[in-house]
Amino acid sequence: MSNKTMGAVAKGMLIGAVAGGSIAYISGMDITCKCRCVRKKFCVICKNMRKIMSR
Amino acid sequence: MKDAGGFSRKIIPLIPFFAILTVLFLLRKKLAGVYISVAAAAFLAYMLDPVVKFVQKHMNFVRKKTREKAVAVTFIIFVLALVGVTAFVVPIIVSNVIEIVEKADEIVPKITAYLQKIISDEHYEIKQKLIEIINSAEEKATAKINEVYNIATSFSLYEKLSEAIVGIITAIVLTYYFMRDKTHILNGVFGLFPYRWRDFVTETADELGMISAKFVQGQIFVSLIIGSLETVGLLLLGMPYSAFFGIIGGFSNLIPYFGPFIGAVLPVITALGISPVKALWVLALFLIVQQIDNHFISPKIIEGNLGIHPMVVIIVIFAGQELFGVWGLIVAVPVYATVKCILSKFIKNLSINLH
Repeated sequence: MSNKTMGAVAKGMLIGAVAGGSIAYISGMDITCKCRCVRKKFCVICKNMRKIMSR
Repeated sequence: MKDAGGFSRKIIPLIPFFAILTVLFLLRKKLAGVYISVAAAAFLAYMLDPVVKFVQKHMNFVRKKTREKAVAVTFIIFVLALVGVTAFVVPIIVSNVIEIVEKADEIVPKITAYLQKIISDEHYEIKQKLIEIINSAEEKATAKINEVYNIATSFSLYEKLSEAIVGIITAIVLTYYFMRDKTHILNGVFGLFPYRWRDFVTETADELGMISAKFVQGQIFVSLIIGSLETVGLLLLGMPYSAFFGIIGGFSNLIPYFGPFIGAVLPVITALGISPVKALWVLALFLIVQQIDNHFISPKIIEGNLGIHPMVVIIVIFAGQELFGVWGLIVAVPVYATVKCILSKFIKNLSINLH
């Protein structure tokens, strides 16, 4: 990869990370969420989440 | 550090995640091969999923019918089938195509002579137009094939071939992992969505899964059967290049309503070059296969329809063809069904939230 491409990629990475990260945070994306029982909805995390959401 | 709503806990992992996503997007041209392999593997795993379920249900030779074992069995069957197809079917197709190219110079004058004979001189313009179309099609096809031939005999072929082989092997290995870790991957993908969207996303995904099972998996399976039926039928009729025409017929069967006719055009024209009676026989064969498909095969495999009005299907196919050509013909209806499903779910969700 040439220096020019590397520079472009680094710049894009910075903009993408800041823009994408903030938009995702605002929309409520949470990749650390350990809850994986999306279809069952009955695990402890889910129950607590539901309680919080319904408040 | 204590903060409201876990700000740092949430945003700190998001930044590198999006940084990586952006890099992957910026390098998309250089990494195209990798993306194609991954996409092909995901598609194959999706296509083989019903097979895995079937094997798991009927796997009576093991005590515990786990998904892992079913995946292993399916994968072995798949690899064997792949090897079989490459060993037996590909050489036939290649030799058929080469033969057609060599014979095109012979067939085209035959057909034009036949047209000269059947269309009287009163319709001189129509005749000239038809002959022109056939000749230009032949010229275009010859140019394209010469191009492919030039690539095939040059050094760059070996470079491309090694690239393709690495890609294919990667895709096959990835297919196994996609099949084995299906639930983990799906949960990971669903986990990416914000919590309040997940009900909507999982519901929509379920519905889309049903649509695609009907359309994509069902259609491709039906097309395989149709292709084989047509190949066998053409073989029995003693037509040349039957495997090639059968495959084209099966492939064009992916297009609703128009597909069977598109698939029949080439074999009928070729048969016309041999004798008009043969052309009639070929036409009859295609009609019979289509009737068998409509009455016995499709209703069994594709249970029910997508709930789209036939008129809409025809308009959508036509629009797809105008916009995106051949690929538009094939993907128009599934894309329309997907968009319709997502939109209707979304609107329903909105109206529930509003009330």
